[in-house]
Amino acid sequence: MIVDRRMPHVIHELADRINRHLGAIGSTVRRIDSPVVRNDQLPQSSRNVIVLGDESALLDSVQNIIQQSQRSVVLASHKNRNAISATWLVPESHFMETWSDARAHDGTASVVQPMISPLYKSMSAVEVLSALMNDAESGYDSVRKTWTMNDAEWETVLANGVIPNTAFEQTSESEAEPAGIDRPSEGYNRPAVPRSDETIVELQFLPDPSVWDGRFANNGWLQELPKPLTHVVWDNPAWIAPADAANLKLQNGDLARLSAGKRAIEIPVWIVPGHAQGCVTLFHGYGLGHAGRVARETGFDVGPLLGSQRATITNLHHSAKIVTTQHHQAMSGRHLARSGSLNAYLDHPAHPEFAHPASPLPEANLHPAWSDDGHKWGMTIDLTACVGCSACVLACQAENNIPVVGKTQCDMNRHMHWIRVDTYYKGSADLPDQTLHQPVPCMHCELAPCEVVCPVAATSHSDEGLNQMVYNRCIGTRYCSNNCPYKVRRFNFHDYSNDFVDTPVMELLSNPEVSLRSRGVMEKCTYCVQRIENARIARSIEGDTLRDGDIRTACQSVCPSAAIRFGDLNDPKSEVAIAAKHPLNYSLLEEINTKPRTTYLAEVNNRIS
Amino acid sequence: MSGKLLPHDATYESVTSAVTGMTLRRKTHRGWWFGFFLGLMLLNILLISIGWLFAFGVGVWGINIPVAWGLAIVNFVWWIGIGHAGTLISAILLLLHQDWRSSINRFAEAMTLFAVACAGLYPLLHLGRPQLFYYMIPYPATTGMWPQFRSPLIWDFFAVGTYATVSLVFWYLGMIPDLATMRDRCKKRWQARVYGLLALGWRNSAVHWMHYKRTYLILAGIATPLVVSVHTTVSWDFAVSIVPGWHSTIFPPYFVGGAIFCGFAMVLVIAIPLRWYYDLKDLVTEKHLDNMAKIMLASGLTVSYGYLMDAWAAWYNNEPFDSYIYSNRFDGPYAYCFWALILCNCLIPQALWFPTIRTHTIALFSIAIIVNIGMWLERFIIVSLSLHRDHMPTTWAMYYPTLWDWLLFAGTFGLFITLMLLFVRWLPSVSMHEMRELVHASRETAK
Repeated sequence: MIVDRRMPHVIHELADRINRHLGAIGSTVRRIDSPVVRNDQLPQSSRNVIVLGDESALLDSVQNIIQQSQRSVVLASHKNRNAISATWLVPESHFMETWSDARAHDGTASVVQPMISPLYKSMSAVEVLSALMNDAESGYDSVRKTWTMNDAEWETVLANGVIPNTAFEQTSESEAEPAGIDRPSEGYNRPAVPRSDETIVELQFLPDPSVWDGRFANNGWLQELPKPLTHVVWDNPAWIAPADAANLKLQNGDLARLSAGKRAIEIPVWIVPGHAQGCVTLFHGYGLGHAGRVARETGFDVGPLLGSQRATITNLHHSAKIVTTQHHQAMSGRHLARSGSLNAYLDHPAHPEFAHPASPLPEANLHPAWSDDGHKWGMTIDLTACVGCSACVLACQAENNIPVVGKTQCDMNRHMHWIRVDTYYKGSADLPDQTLHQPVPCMHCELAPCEVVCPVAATSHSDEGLNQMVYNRCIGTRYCSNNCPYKVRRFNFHDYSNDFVDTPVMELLSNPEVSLRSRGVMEKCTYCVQRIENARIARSIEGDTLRDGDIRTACQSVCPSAAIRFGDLNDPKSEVAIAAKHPLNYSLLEEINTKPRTTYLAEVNNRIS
Repeated sequence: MSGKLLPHDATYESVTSAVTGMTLRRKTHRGWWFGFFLGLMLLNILLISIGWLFAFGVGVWGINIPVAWGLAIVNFVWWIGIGHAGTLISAILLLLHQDWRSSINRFAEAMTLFAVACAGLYPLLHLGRPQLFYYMIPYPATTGMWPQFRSPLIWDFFAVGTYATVSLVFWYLGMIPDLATMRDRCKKRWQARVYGLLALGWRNSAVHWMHYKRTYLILAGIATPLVVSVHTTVSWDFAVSIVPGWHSTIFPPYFVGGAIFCGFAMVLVIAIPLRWYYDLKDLVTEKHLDNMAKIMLASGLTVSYGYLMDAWAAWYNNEPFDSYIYSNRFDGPYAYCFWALILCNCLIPQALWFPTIRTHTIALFSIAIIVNIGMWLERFIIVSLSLHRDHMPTTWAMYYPTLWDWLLFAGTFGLFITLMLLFVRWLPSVSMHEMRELVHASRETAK
């Protein structure tokens, strides 16, 4: 049993007891000494300071040390807070430009290899340290020296990514159970918030889901990544429960003042169904000075309240512009993201009703069917596995040269993501029973409504079933988007791709396998057609044909829970074909007869129905 | 009947000089200059908004995903609808021997042409890459690519193109004998030259008349189906799609009804001030206003029936997407547009049942304006608001037109007003030869 690290101490103790009870300690759960350096282990002050890396730029303690020192050297990738107050600034190489090493959570060592040679005259932390030790060797030499092995072993390590048998030793520990929580349920009693006063709320601090503690704030991709659940972009509104918002007459985006003692912040709120009442969740990582040109003037600093348990909330009666990319989270009686309990599934494993609700389905079709010869590309998305993390959205953006359009354009509903992760709440609007995540890329419909309406045949069907966009042919009538029931098509309302690439170095951002789209052109998910073709070419050079698993789409390759499968539906043994035949498999909006190639596996959960 | 269409003392001469006087004898009046100045101002706004659009792309408008068609398409359908009355009056009423059309057909046709010119701008301007509009034309390209003929946009391209061409030819042909009259009556040499050139050597001979009558009748026959076909084709842009609120078989007749409705409303909006300003009460009589009001009432009822059937079909389908579109129209975020539409198009025009309202110029003018607003709202609701909440609730969004959307719309009024005023100033805006025929006929009946 693993417990989220945000959980209180008592929960961790309880989980530990359960693990002991299960006999998991030593078999599935290993305990190691924590290698993490904590803040309180830092010196208070020093005459000479060397600060390596950007991460510490957000720590006030580090900032104080730099300011009190006589001489400071800061290695930083950009002008962060530390860099500005330092005596010397050393430009830092990006980790993709350097040789280095790293350790995983369990201690397994890994060699960090550069992907490109450094773009600028910069140094890595390893190089700075070795320079200070008077042997100014390259990062590569340092790493080789640290991990002594012969060339053959080195090649193997580089190929595998990890150095074998380097995990930390398991700590020996007493079998005695920790004292003090004989009746742990008592320890779980929450501190009573005096709810007689509706304006006092408990504060919960979390790192932002996309820019973390602010270290990624200067990354446009992350800023424009719709945050899980709220789909807010470019901002960090405070989460509030619907009932509390109603009491305070707050609506999404309304500014509230949160004050604890002498410290106060003004921050817009966002109503989150299912959020605990009497509590406000604040996300740090925003509103920081020197955050760079992308993060400039975005978000709200929650720093002043850090450390406070409670705050008084008041409605300021005016609002801030907070932008979301999903305005509605109810399914409105439509069978979009389908789910059911394990029991319901086990009752009818061959035809689970929740996956196939009674709905009038199309019976006839005037169009001739496409030929099924050759490859028949398809994708399945397992809603049981999907956790709604949005990694697929970012992977797709990086792979397919999808521009960042900025907050104003997002506010006009013009974000460009080719895959989105829809969030639905089931049950009551304030306290939903269930939250569902549904990634929606292009469905590559066999009977694609977009294709018939294009006056210039700019979107057409490939013989392998891909619904293709021919950018050169597109004149931008946008009819295809109107006729797409899934609304997965994206339009270049402005010259987004050129506006995005505004400095020469940004040209390196683009994936050379994928063309940039100009103003006035429609675009959408291609099933990573460039990866399909590359895999095909690679196999044909070997004189071979494509095999299942040769092609992995960008979204599929980053999905942490392997919810996305892609492959040839004509290959009966392919993962995707097996998933497509599963009784839980359904097509989104199947009643309108588009015959999507992207299909879903309905969510099966442990709810008691 | 014709007695009411002309004053008792009307002669060939009185009719002819009333019309030629508008352009030849009368000095360019201050009121005309004021209107022309206004038209030019708005025309400049049109040019500026087109320039801005070309510089920065269609992103200057409020369109988005899901509402990828906004005011540009709304205005296109609206102007095309207005362009219906002209051909209806000249062609269909000619074939039906409705003599009363003679005094209003000319400027109604002009209105059609200018409205189609305004409408025709939009489909080109709304393209993401307008410089490539010619991909819609089936020309022998080295790429071997043809348009995609299954797309209703291609049908629309041809339908509007045909309509514009036939309307222009019909209008010009009908004007030839009158242009000859102008040539003969004008005092200045250069004017006579210009009118003479335009009159294509018309000498009023019996042979000319024989050819002319025959051609005009054939053209009327060609133009008649176009009245129905052009807006039917426009409606297919929507009906052929699978968007809830668009995908409806009632669209063709209901669009044509709507087009006649607002087309006649626009004719009244132009005829009433024109008749007052140029003192043409003898040519455009109360009988004309009454007849047009009746057509407006009838087509308005057709449109109301269309709304009712569309809603009924959505309910009868028992299908969540269509029924949601209607419940969203009734009480969604844009419900005020829908109820304003019902007020403008269904309720207020009912006043036209009263004969006094039908001949009361101010009341009729106001109702005509209201109907034009109502018909604009109808297109806004159908085109843009059907898109704002379709199949997937997660993609629902609002659509707010921007300043540049509105300026472009205002600008097309500039084009329309400027062309209309130039027409009234320099061309015979009432068909003299057909009016003379009416005088002749009334004399025959008097005998």
